[in-house]
Amino acid sequence: MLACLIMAAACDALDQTPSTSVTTDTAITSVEDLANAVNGAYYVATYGTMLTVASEMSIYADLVGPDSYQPASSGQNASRLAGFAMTANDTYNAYYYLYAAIASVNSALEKAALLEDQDAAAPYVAELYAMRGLFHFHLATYFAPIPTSGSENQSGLVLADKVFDIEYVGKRASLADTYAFIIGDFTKAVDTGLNKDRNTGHVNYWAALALRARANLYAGNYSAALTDAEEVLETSPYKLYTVENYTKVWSQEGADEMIMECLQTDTYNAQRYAPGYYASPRGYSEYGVSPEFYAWMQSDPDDVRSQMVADCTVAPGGDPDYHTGYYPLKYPGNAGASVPAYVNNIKVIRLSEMLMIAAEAALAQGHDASPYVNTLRRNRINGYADVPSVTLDDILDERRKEFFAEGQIAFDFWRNGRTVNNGSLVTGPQNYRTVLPLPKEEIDLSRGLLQQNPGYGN
Amino acid sequence: MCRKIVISLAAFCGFLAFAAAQDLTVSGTVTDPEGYPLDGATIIVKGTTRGVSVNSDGRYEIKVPKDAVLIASYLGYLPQEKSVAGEHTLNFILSEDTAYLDDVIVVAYGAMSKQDFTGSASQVSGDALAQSSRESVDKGMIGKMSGVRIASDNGDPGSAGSVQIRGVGSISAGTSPLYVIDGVVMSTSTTSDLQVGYKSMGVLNSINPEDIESMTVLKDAAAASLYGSRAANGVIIITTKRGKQGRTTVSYNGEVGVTSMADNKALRMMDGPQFLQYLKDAGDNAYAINPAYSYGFTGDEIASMTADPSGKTSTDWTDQIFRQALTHNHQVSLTAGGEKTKVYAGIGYDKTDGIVLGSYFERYSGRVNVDHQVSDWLKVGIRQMVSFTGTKGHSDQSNQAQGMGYATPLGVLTQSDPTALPKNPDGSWNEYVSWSGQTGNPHIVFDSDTEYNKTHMMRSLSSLDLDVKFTDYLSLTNTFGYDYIDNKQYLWWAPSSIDGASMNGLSASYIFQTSDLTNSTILRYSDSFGSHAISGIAGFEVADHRTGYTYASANNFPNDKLNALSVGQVDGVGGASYRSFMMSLLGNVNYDYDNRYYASASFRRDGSSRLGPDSRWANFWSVSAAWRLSREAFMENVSDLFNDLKIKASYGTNGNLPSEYYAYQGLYSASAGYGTASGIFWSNPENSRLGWEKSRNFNVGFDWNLYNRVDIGVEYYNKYTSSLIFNMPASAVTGFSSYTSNVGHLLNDGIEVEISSQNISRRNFTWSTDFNFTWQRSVVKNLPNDGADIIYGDGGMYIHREGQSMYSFYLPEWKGVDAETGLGEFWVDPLDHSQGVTNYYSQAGSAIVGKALPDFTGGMTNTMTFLDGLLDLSFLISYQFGGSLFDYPGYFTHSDGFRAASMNAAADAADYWTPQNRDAKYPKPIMNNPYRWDRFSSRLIKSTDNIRMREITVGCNIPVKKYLESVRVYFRATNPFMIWSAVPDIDPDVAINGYRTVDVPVTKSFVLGINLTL
Repeated sequence: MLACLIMAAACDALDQTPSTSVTTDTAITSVEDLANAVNGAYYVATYGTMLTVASEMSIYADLVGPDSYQPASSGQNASRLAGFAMTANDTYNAYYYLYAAIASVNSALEKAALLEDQDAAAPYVAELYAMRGLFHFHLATYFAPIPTSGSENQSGLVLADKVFDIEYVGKRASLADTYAFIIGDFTKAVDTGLNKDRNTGHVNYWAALALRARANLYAGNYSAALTDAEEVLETSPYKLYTVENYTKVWSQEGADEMIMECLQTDTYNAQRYAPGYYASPRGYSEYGVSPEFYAWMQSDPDDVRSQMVADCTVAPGGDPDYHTGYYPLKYPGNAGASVPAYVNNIKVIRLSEMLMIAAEAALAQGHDASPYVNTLRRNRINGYADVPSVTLDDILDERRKEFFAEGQIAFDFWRNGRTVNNGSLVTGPQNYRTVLPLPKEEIDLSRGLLQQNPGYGN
Repeated sequence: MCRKIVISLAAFCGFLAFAAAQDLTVSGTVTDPEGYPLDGATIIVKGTTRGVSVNSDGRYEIKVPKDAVLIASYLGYLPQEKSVAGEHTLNFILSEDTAYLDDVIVVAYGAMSKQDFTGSASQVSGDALAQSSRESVDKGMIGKMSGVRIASDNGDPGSAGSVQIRGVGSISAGTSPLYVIDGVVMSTSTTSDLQVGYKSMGVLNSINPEDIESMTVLKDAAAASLYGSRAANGVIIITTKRGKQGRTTVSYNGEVGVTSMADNKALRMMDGPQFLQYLKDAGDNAYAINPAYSYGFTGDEIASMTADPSGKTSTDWTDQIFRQALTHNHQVSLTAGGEKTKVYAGIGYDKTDGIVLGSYFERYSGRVNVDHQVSDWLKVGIRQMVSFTGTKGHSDQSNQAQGMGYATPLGVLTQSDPTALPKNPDGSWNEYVSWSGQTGNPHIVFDSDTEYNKTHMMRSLSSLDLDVKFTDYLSLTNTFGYDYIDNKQYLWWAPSSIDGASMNGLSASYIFQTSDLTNSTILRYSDSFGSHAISGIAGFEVADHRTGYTYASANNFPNDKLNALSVGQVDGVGGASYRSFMMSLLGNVNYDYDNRYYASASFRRDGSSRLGPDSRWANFWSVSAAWRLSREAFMENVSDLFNDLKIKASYGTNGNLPSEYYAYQGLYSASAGYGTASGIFWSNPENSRLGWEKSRNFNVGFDWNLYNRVDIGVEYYNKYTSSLIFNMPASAVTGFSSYTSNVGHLLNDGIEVEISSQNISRRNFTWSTDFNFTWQRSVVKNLPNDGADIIYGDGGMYIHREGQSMYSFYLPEWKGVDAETGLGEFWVDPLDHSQGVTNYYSQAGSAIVGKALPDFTGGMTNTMTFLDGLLDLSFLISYQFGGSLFDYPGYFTHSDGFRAASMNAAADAADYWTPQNRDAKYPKPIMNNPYRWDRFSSRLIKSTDNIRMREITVGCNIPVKKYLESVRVYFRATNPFMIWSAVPDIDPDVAINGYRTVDVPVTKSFVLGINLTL
């Protein structure tokens, strides 16, 4: 009988719950919980390990871009990406963490629908849709070709539009459907009450609009891209950087023209896989800029952007641990960061890009793109005199100057059907290397349902 | 027992022949080898029934004929004969009868006579364990038992070994056996509960092997199913030493020795001139394809970047990183006992320096065991062990994930420039020896306290046994146990260190705490009626396991001098706790008729918090029977040959739980944050169907004693595990990469043979042999998704495929070097060579190219004594055949130039293709080799077949009379040499899954020891 008593008393002890997690059914029961779930999805998407959007993938398009240069080979993933040495066997954490973030988004969306105060929940719901669009967009740029590139490969992504059963295995949507889905998510966000105030680290109304402009540009919807870009340029609270402040904004959080950036802190960052450590002569030093690019940038000393590349070709005191070369200076560390090379907010989209999107979209529609380019240059170059017209080459060159080290350049060229020579390989629209392989595990487990990108085996 | 009967018979026969006159008084003593009087021993005149008892001083006196022969005997000791031959004094020193000690076997919740035991178990004495390893009990088991495989692939002192009993019990859940010490289940904490990665650490090292009396491995369901849900991987029962009645001994055991790498040829790197040539060739070959591969440099230009391109300097960095390390061990123990109280107490100290510069293992341990008979009906036993274990070492690759840390021994070794000198001309260490620029001089990295990983573990193991005797037939035992472990881990990366530079230094402190509280209450019944004997137990048990950690880290240190957390700036903090709870009902019944027919059955019902409410309770049971043929009348005529013969069989079920604490629950993790705000995210999908992993075990065998000299035990087992707890891969699109589910079946079966033989037993020379042999296989029988293959492991190198062995390597097949072009070749399809070859790794298909598990394993121990026990010699040989290893270090050291820009290559990799060396073993090196011949393929799969000398011990029992009872000095060599191995220069001791990591290779040691007994 004593045994029975003890057993009965102990029965409750068989229900144990973890100290750092809550059960799914109790996780989101208030708007505060929903706000935390939004944060949590950003946390997962920007997880600080190798090959995520917080680490090498944030400079992927620079590593394979025209101005890529590796001052040192530390055997890390940046130089492997730059050398096109990655295979389907490599673990692309961006794939896993972006989809994991999307799963959290979809789960939060399900639970948000059950909340009582739907009005208070609405801005978070809208942000979740925008995040889902953004995360799919990142995946699409890495693992699918750009629709306008002219690639024969027309496979898009497996679209994660809802919470899936754990045994779910999906098929890839077409490229067109993928971009339609992404643009659709941004549209939902824009239409359903996103906040228009500045909200650093979060997608607000303007960020959703700007991201939709970019997605439309990639999809070749030039007039839609132009419309969104114009709205952001005309109505948003963001201001272009100026010749005066351009060199100082990189360590600022919520700088004048930063529409969306992902937050990095002393606690949450990619440490040695962060772009700042790759771009440091005392770090991995696998991300520099080519001597040609450096010389080109210096050729116009009136252009403030010439100050954003550093000549580190002489090691101080002959220190052999110092990897000599030319480096970008866009990763100085967030103000107050304890390890500056680790902690730099991830640059997602800023106002200048609206000018460049508008220019490219205008040109594609046969309009004059020079006003947009002139506007940007006036804010970058001392004593700049407007030009009457610009070509696509001018726009691409302007992008190289303005957005180097921000994860865009190779996409810009491929998007326009151009080839890129990054020093180790010339990649063009038909080169399979412009698209990364899906993780081999995903292909294996799909048992034929999931198509690998061409060139990477089955 | 048998021996007593034989002696009685001999005495009886002698009575008939009695004659001769009594004309001499003989006196003397009867003692044990340590000189203790054997009170109650008997002296019998050979050939008569006449005899006397020995008094409490061990003395006797008897009148006998001049030519009589006296036999001294004492329970548990081997009888001894001596001829009187006119002597007045005859002293007998009896040695312990090990066979007698073996007659009792420790089983689940008790002990029983070996002859009554119907299950399957192997037992090894504590002395035999401690002889092999003073560091850890698991490492001491190598080669000593059938069906038990010990993988100890890491030579770092204090690292974890792993033990597998009867194959691989699970795919995703734990495969480690359950440890029970003095009736208390030891902490089920896994290494991951007690430390953060960085380097391997064994929790079992906190137990001092010298405190152990015996260790029993329960193998089949009959033996183990009383432990139900936790017995699927077998059970290891450790019994610690007890005091003995009537004698007090104080003894000191001490050892000192040296340890070094067992086989260091596999880690030899290219020397200076070889490396320069390799760089030239790798650079030129790369330049010829695309100058970008060699960074635009020619081979000569690359070679000129070395520390000394002249080729006159050559440093063997293996000798700089690895050393001959000192080890010493001391143990003082006391055993004492009166009529009511028995005490064992021991204090030990062990210090083993690691073979890598700057690493060590250190343990202080103490134990007191007190047993007291309070009254006729109450007995109390209290046992307390406390140990402090400290280790210092460096990060290693024991997590088997791809990649190699810069500050690991292997990382430093491969990246050191062999043309650089360790020292500057002024005698200081040369800082600039790294070819990759990312590592440092090993003397600075490993031996200067700028970068290390330290652990300080405190473990307290307390237990209380209360035995209440109600009647002669009925008693109650309550066992309460509390196992508390506190492990503090300190990580220090000084500002100037490789890993610390980017953060201006990092210091991190972790505190891990686990506790396991167990209480079992067991009612025991035992009675006999005529030839029927029946016994049984019934009881219940609760087990409460808690674990948790707290950590804090700081960075931005002012300099290398101080590493206290307060010196740096706050970096991070963290903490969490976990708990699991289990409760159980259990019982068994044993019956025997006339010591001839035996039957038993057991049952256990377990409920665990690790599973959901609908699936957390499960029943486990077993039935077994045995038949002692030798007790049958028809066997009497051949009773010498079949001195004892028993056949036995058992069948039953065991279980296994998920390793995760909360795997069945759908969870949102709150351990996230974004900026400075809190965050929660979906971290675990719900899985309320998750249940127990169950195995059905069948065991059949016989125990046969021949001529009282040879014991043969043969068993066949078949263990079928169904509803495996399996980490099913999930599509990333779901948000998860895997989930836990009960799918798949696994079959383990095997044949085990144990033979022990007393080959020669003379006064001046004895020789005994213990031999064991195991044939074993682990086959995946059934997989989910209609049997679809499951590819897993680092880079997808392993496969689960129905009908194939566990740990099958699934990789492209390497064909070799094309003698014409010097390029490496893979078969496009390893299963269809007609599809031809490819030079590109990415175009090569995969197939099963080997398996990690050996088919045959075993060992043999030979023990000899000379000159009446004055000298002794024993040696242990182990063997294994039929398995392979995956040479992960080879992936770095044989990169065919791919890593030439950052790493040196193995010495044997110098045999690469050149136009002058067309039949080379390796292809031509190409810097940043675009073909990637180095990637995981059958080229890295090597046979582990070997016969190895594990241990040689030579001892001398110095005859002493005064002051000391006994003195023994001995010399022991561990892993002294390989007798034979299929692949030379690769140590075949690897992890169970065959994945070879060699940050700290397997070691050999030579030790001098002394045992003194007062």
